[in-house]
Amino acid sequence: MLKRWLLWMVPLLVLFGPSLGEAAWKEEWQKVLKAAKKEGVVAVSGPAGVQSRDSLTKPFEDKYGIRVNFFGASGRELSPRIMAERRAGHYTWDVYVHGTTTGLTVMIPAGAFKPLQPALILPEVTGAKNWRGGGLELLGKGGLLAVMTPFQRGTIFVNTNLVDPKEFKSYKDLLAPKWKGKMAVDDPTKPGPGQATFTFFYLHPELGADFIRALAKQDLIMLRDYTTQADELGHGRYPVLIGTADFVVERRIRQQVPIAVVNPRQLKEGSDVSPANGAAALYQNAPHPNAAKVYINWLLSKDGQSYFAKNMGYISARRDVSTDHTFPWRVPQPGAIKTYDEHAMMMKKKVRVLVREVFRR
Amino acid sequence: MSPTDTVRTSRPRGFFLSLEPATLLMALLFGVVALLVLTPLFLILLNSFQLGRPGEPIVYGLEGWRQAFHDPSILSALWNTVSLAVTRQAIALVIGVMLAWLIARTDLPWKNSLEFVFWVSFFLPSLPVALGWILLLDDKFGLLNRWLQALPFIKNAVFNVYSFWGIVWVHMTTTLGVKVLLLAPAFRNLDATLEESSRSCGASTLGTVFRVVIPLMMPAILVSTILGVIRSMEAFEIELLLGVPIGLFVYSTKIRDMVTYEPPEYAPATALGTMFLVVLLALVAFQRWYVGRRMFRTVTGRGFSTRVVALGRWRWPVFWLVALIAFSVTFTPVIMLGMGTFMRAFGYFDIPNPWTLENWQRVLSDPYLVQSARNTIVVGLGTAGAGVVFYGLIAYVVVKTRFAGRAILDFLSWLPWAIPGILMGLALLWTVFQTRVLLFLYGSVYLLMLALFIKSMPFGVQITKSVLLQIAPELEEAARISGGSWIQCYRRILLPLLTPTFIVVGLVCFMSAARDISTVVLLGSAQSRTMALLALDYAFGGQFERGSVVAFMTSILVIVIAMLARMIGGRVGIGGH
Repeated sequence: MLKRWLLWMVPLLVLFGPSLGEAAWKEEWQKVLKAAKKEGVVAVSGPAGVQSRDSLTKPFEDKYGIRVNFFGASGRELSPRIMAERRAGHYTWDVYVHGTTTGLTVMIPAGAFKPLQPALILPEVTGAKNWRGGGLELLGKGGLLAVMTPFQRGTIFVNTNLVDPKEFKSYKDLLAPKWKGKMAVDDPTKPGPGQATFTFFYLHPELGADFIRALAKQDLIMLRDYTTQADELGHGRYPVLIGTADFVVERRIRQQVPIAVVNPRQLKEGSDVSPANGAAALYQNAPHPNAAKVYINWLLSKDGQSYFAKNMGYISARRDVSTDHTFPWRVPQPGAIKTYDEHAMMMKKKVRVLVREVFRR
Repeated sequence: MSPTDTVRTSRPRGFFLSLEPATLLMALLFGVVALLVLTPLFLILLNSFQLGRPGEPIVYGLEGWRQAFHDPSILSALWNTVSLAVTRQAIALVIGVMLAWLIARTDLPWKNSLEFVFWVSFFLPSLPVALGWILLLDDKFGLLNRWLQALPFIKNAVFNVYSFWGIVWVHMTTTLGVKVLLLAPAFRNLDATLEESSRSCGASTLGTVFRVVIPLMMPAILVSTILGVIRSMEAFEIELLLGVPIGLFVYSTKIRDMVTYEPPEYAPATALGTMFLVVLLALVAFQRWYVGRRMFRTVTGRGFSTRVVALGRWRWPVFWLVALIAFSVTFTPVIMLGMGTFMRAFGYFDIPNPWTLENWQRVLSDPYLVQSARNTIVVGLGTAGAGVVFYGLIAYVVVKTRFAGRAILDFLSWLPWAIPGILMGLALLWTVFQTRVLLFLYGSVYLLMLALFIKSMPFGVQITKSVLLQIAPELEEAARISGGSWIQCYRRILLPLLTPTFIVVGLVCFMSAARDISTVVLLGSAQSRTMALLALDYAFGGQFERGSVVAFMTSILVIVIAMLARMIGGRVGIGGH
């Protein structure tokens, strides 16, 4: 009896299962979308910058007719605000779009996020084959923080009138005496691309703390402002710059300033992978839960990722989003060191102590 | 009695308000000021002992204080801050006092225009101005150095902006503007008969300046010096740009570092911030001691002469000198800022097609521009309007009444400066959420106005107070005896004399609202974004040139408001020479 039941159930499931599933997600999606339009607005905290503002607001508004209340600031500027609000039981935000550092070190320990998986409805978002690495990467216990745009970072930048970018084959080339006193660096003692670069050095088995100590003896000039870093390099004040904000340098390159990013693939040790400000989460107790669901599904879809990655100069983790807008080597290499996950956050504490000691800050 | 005699008096003779409702009103004012000022300060102090990270349970302890003052680099940062502050304040004070005297007390040609040029220098945003000076004075690629090195006898760069003196110079371009802005109105309120009496006794013009004018102007000079010292202690943007590359760290850099760590370290940051309270207490104590020992009345019932000092044959040489200073500190940065708005990449003249209109086109078509400009005007005018009214009221109570709590009210009005600017937004955020009293304003422009009102209180009250000290009480008493009510006396006697000061106070409040970022980031919302946040959006995206367009537009907005205010003030205020 059971065998007969299975004999006609299995073909039925094979034939009609997908369409049953399709009917299920479509029904859920319509229900959520209808409720979202009734809510009428979604509150998004995102990175400061016109590029993020433009990519995270208008395209969604145009597609769904739901207003986006977008507020841009750095993660560390927004975190005290969000923490103060939540402590007072005042919930104003729906969606988080920032880096993983604030997410992992402040928001998740404070219980500010809720699991993402239950909110993901669209098959193009939930389908594992659409994502590099076989699925959307989620950090935090319970899958709280989505890593949308992990890309290979640039770590060494040169003035092309003074230095041939192909000259560097390894980070250990930076230890050559000719570079002593001639290299600038984004201050690694504070959060930023400089610290991420030094975390990469620390984590790499062939570099490590010894390399950092040796590099510190090269009389590195510390700078803090990214535009100044790019311009000091562009004007030739320093021929080499270590660790800076890629997007600022890329902009200057497009403006035909004589700067180049050393291709990490020509470096023996490669470079680290980071999403920069490309991580997303849903806030607990969101005031507009349905609009938040629609938004996060849109953001992680091909449509949302295309706008976001292109405007920000990132590489989306989606396979079907173009990478033509930036260097091809930015596509992450398998096995590349991650400087954005929980392990890296723990290591950053040790890196901070080390760099303060060797740079005497 | 010689105009240089000072009269020792234990209590100022004020206009005595005998009505009970007035006393109640003053008590209410006292209560409101105490609440607005003491709550954020208390929360800052409390959080210096709170060791739990954001999101973690609250834990109290002394570890934050130990960490803050155990850092060996704190002492050198403090030394750098003090030496930078003292150097630039000393230079700016000497030059600023002379400029204010020349503009307000002499027959210098085009003095009103020159005064406005100095105002403009104060309205320019500091970061683009600093980048402009780097473009000129960088020892490797600075334009001025390159031009000079084209001369056969100059081999090396003459100027280096990345130095102690480079930092002093870049700050000087705004510091001088502040001094002229604050001191010129006070100098104008000097009765010329005091100077004439001194000269008729045989003193030279300069001797009169040093022995009569400056001692009488001490309240305003002291307030502008204290303002300058506090601002110097808070400054970090230019020091980050020019000091970090040469290993020169200042106190506020340390505080900023701690606040910007991830996760942020508020306990040591707020512990370090208490240094401001210590410095402020010392400065305020000195100011109260000095002002309390003397009288500074220059506008009395005996008549008021606005005759100016004739410079004679020095008139035009002095004019050219003042003009050179004014144009150096104003037009050079304006030109650099303006140039930057038309450059494809700021400071790069050698790239293909270095000039473009695209920056302006992009900004002018930004959908958030109109909203940001509207919010800036609303917040700015609201802060300025409320500030002028309330600061004037507080200053009046402190100087002109016998209200029992006036000394404490005066001290309370200084306290917002005990909180470093970088921590003020945080303090106000905690005030909103931990007291919940102001929660209903959260996210609205009104909360921003309130926050900026608190921030600007020390400046507004003390500058108004320094001018009120110049006005003798017999003017109001005469009006009262003639049957005038308090409102009539205030409107017809005090207001014309205070109008130039109110214009300055209002403008500084407006400018503070237009430029403030840290407060707006922590308390603002998508609906209340201002031009400052719009500029930040561009700058943060690496689009410095477009950020310069917004900064340029903000400066033009403030200059237009300043011109309108001067026009209106000229009709309301007393006629000058």
